Amino acid sequence: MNPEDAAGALGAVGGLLAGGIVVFLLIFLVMAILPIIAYWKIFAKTGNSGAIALLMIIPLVNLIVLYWMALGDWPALRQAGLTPGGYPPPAPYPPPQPGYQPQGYPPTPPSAFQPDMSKFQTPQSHFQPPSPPQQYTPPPPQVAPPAAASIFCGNCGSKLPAGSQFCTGCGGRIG
Amino acid sequence: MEDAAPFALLLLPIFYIVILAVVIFPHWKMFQRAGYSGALSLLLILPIINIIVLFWFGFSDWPALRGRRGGM
Repeated sequence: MNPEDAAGALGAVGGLLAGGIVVFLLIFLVMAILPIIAYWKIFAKTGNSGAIALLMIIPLVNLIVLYWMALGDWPALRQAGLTPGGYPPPAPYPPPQPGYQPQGYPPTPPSAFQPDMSKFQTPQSHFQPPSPPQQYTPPPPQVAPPAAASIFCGNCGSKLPAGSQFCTGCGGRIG
Repeated sequence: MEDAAPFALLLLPIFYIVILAVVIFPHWKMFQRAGYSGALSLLLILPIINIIVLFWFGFSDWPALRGRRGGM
């Protein structure tokens, strides 16, 4: 074997080694990066920062992040109007039908009968002056009250806005 | 030595199951909160499939977010 052949063989082995290392690194990178991309999308969809997914590279920290994400707040759910109390507020009530007079507005004009209230409001007296006679007005047509303002999760019992499909407490499907 | 080896071997699957449960649980919760079945998280046990499931989960239209506000 002359020196040139030996050098060539060594070069070939070196090339193979280098190639193997490059392939290994590539696979490693892909395996590390792919889940990060997926978690980035998932975390962003919950309404949190997708950058939190970068923490998933760190061992143990990734577990903490997972539990935090799984059990923590999802602003996106609040924005979907499924969690009461969030911003923006839950979907408004259906608009009133035409001709609907909200009760208590406009204020009823004071009636002519004005009892002297001072007579009745002695500290010892629990007497309530009779309310002045009022002409009966039929109550305005009831706008369907915001159909059953809330329902309850059959699984965990959380109170939910009507029409919810999924429980914000346990995540279960409603109905 | 004869007793020690089987004992250690018994512990291995237990460790495996515990670690699996610890990892699967948060995913189960997330799938549920997104509006999917939590059982989908069991697919994350399988190699390769887990990446596919994660990507599908990340890019799909979550039923829970298809709330009253967005269409429907």
